Formats: sequence, C-alpha cells, structure tokens
Amino acid sequence: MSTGTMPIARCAATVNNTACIPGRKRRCCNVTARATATSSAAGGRAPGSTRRDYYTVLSLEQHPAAEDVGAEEIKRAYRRLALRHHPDVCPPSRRAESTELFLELRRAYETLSDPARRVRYNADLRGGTGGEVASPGGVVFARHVWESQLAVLRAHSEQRQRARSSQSQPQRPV
Amino acid sequence: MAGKRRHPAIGIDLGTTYSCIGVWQNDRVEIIANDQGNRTTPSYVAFTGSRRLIGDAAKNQAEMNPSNTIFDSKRLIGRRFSDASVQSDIKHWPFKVISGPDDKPLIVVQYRGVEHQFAAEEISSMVLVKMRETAEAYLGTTIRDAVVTVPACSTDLQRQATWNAGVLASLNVMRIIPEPTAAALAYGLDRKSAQVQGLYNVLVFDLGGGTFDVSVLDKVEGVFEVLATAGAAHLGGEDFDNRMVNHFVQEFKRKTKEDISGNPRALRRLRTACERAKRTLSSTLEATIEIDCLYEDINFYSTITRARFEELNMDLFRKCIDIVEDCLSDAKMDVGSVHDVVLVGGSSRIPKVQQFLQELFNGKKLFKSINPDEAVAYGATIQAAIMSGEDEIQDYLMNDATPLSLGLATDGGVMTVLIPKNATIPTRKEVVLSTDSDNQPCIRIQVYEGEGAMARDNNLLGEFEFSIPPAPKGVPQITITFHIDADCILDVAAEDKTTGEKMRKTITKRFRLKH
Repeated sequence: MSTGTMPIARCAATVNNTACIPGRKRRCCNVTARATATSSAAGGRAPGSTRRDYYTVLSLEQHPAAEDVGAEEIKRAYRRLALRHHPDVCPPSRRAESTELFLELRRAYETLSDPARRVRYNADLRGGTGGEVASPGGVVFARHVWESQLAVLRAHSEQRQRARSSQSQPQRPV
Repeated sequence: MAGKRRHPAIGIDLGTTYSCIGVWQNDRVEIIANDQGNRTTPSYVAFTGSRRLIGDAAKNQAEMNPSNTIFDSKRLIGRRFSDASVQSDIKHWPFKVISGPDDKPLIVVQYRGVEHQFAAEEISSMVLVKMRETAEAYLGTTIRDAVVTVPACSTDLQRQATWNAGVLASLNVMRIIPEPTAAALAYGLDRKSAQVQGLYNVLVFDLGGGTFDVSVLDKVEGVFEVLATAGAAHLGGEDFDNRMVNHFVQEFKRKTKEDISGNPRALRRLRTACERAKRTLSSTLEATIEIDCLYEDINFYSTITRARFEELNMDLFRKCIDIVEDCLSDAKMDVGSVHDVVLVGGSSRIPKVQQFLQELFNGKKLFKSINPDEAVAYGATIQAAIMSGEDEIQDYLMNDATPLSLGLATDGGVMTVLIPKNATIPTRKEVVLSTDSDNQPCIRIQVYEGEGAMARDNNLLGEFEFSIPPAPKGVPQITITFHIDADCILDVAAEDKTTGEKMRKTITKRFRLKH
C-alpha cells in the first residue's frame, strides 16, 4: 500500500491541521477567483509548464512507476486530498484558494481516471513520442491498466465524455 | 462538555409532510423534540379568525378549517402556477391557489377576517421558524446557522426558493443539500465504528410523504461522492393515502348512495383516518376505519387488509423499484456491488416496498438503524457540523453533485451541456462559441438547466448579451465559463480573447441576509 505524502502546500496554513479547524463558518460573498482556466478537453499539459503535473497534484509522483498506478489508488489519493482541500473544511478566509486547489485536484483526478485521457496525458508528459515506441511488454501492461480502469470507472468516463464532446468545437448561439 | 461555539449549527429536514431538526451536541447528533414531545413536526400552517398555528396544532384542526390549513407548500416552492404538476395538485387541495406576478403561485387564506396571499416560501419559512424556535427552546440560545435539505431532483429555482424560505425565517442557510445525500452522511458516520475499508457503495432509498429519491453514492477515504440520482417528484405516502381515500369513497357510495368526493371536510377526515390505517398496516394485517357522522349523520365503519392496500398501490410500488434500477444503471453499478441499502422516509416502512427492494438486492438486509423519519435531519446536522469545523467530524466530507445538467442554447436552439448531471461541485467548465451570421453585433448567452436535448424543453435560468466587434461569421472566439461554487451558485463569464472584453453574471435569486 502506498503512503501518499502531502504535497508542498500552496496555502502554508493547510500544513498545520489546526488551521483547517475554523471558528464560526461564514459564507463568503460571490467572488470567484479566476485562474487561467483551460478546457478540460485539453487533458495533459506540456512538461515544461510551470504547473505541477497531475501525478504530483495527487501526491503520486513518489510512487514507483507512477504512470502505472492503479485506478483504485488514484481514487483514494484524490479523496484523501479532497478531505483536506474542499472549501467546506477550510477556513472561510481561504475559501477562494481552497476552491482553486479543489478544482485542480478534480481536473487531475478526472484526467488520470479516464483511461483514454490518461494515455494521452502520459504521452504528452513523455514528450509525445514515447507511446509510439512502446515495447511489447509495455503494451501488455498498458492493456492491463486500461482494463482495470474501465471496469471501475465506466460511469465516470461516460459522464466526462459527454461533457467533453460538448466542448470539442465551437457552437453557434441562437 | 461545553460547546465550543456560542451558537450551534443545526440541520433541518424540511419535508413535504413532516419536518425534523437536529443539532450537533456532545459529539453526536441530537434530534430535537417539539413542544408536543414529537421528534417530527407536521409541515402545516393554519390561519384562523384569531391566530396562526404551525405544526401539530395546525394539523390537528385541519378537519374543522380545511380551506385555511396549508400543507404541501413544498410542492409549490420554486414552481410556476402554470406547471402541469401544480395544476394537478391544486385539484386535490382544499385551500385556494391563484396565479401571482410572474406566474408565481400564491396561496389565499382568510386570516383574522382578512384575505391574505402567501408565496410558498413564506409558508415554508413559517415551518422553519417553528423548527428554529423548537431548537432554541431546547438549547436555550439563539440559532442562526442551519443546513436545510431539498429533494435530490430539485431544480435550481426550487433550491433558491428553499434558501429564501430560510432567510425569511432569520436563518443563515449554510448549505442546501439533497435529502438522500444527507441520509448517506448519517449512515456513513453511524458506520464509523464498523470501519469499512476501501470502497463503500451505498444506495439510499428515500420514500417520504411527498417525494421519492434514489441516490447511489460511494465513500473512499471518508469522502462521499454522488454517482447517480433518480426519483419522482410526486410519489410517496400521500399518493398511497389517495388510493385508499378513493377506495373508501367508492365503498361509501356503494353503501349509502352518497358521493362525498366534493366535500372537503369529509375528505379531510377520511384522509386522516386512511393515513392512520396505512401506518397500522405496516405492523398488522388489517386496519379499521371508524368515522362518526362522516357525511350528513351517516357513520362510516370499515376495514382494509394489508393485501388490499398493497393491491391498490402495487403499480406505485413497482414504479419505485423501476426507478431504483434506473439509478443503478446510471451509476453503472450492479446490485451485487452495493454494500448497503439505506431506508429513509416514513413510507419506506411499508412491508411490500421493503420486500420488493430486498428481492431486487437478492435478500440483502436493509439498513434502518436510524429512524427513517430522522435520517435526513441527522445527516443535515452532520453537514452543519462539518462546515462549522467541529473537531470530532473532520474525517468526513460530502462532495455534492449537480442535480441537473447545465448548458447553453446554441445553434438552432440545441442544448449544449457544459456541466453534466451528477458532476461533483465545485466545478468549472468552458466552451468556445462563435457567431452564425456576418457582422453579428452580440451573442446572447442563455443558461438552461435540464436533461432535454432542446433548450426550450429545459429551465431557463438566466440570460445576458455580450457585445462583440463586427466580424465574419464563425470567426469570433468567445470563451464561456461556467463556475459552480461549493454553495451551488452558478457564475457565468464570457470573454472575447481577441479584444479582452469580459462580462460576468451570477445566476441567483437568493435573498441577501443582512448581518
């Protein structure tokens, strides 16, 4: 069993667990922090990007052969971190920040838990050429990963595919 | 142990027929009894020549004051007068409902000799005031913060109207959560001692007085997520009562040649007797109906067997099971993968319903260790405790989900979904739009909610226009971003990347609580 480590926190306060135990909970105003959001259909990012790769986001980068970690472990990692970063469990003063962190966790989880998107993401991570020269052994292993993920995550996959297809090309408004 | 906070947070199950309230105290949920000693309170408000009554007192005098005793306001909340379901409901209610501004249904009553008109959320707020006062009397302190529940299939308007009812009741509504999710939280915590390792799948079967909800959730590392939700907005104990009432109206007609179907007072008394008989039939095989002077000095005495009751309602019971199967299918889960089936709502006690459910799940034992009438309030209280930062509950979290798909009307009026039903919130999604004619001066952003393929079949939540410089059709690239925050408030932004022009609109009709 993997012992996931806490990532280097963007909010220093969240490292100290007591900071996540606020006093009176008060609703924030409807201010939404706007990160430079990209379409989730894009999936992976260039390795040179300053943003952390999704394995790091989910604290899986220390796992041996991180790219082959199973679907169950990905789900556990996501839920474990959601428990720390969801806006409901963070101090009100950090609501906007925790929302962004949670959204990033969600993007990482959705990408890595969808077999097709994960394969594309891994290829991007390797620079885009690795997939084409995979060894026969690698292919067999990849199929095993695909199969285990498909068995567990078909429901998630179809929901995301539906959302993604609606974004794949510009639509004209009435 | 003294409470850490001066004003504890509460959870309220605002039910169609009954409401229930809980508070986190002594490291656990306490369900609070009202001044009659009852742990659930009828969702009734009555108006008389001298005063207003709420709860048990209102329901107890309903027979004598049918046209001014209001129930089922939850069926009107967030709806339009012209909705088919509203028109159908109005036929069954003894009180008067008219169309107000913007097609908003208004309830008409005589109060202290003067006609008054109330919106549904005003009636619901009166029930919430009763619940708040009950909690304050029990705790001896002022209550402000509350989590309030809604049916899982509620629309955005219904959730916002429920929020507004809370504001009118002087509550700070921390969150509106779906009833089955609240129940799952309740059982998730209840099962804490029996540590379930890894994946835990639970199906919540919530059959209450007015609505039926099914949800499939999973829990991993203490975090619940909704996988699928299904239900019927008009399926519950009241429907079963209606079948019995119709049955006895026919029997009375056969025996006496008199038709009481147009007599509100007689029907009210018959309905009360039928509801009582229905409850009796959950534990005995036969129940009696005894009503003196039901109609023009004619007494009515009769019996009904459990088998007959089941026969009258068999199609409704089967419909419940069909909906369960649909929900499992949506969740891509087979019955064997479900670890627990949780019963919620008073009508889940009906033996035939439980039998059908057990058969579907191959004889699995159904979970009912928490009183089904209280499970929703129990879970709402847990959510309130989580959001209040209670120490003992920091290992739990509920990732809520969107109840219906959200999207835009695009070319030809097609619904383009940006955020699908059951997406975990908070969430953010983008889509790029363009124009369909040359030199179009603006694009209209119309935000819709619902599962129909055409936008017009769904609920229009809001709209605005975004100006753009002239360009040939198909050339502009307008990015539309939907952001739903943890409170389920939708923020829609439009941005033209080439010009840098931006526009935002928050889709909400929530009242702002003044501090």
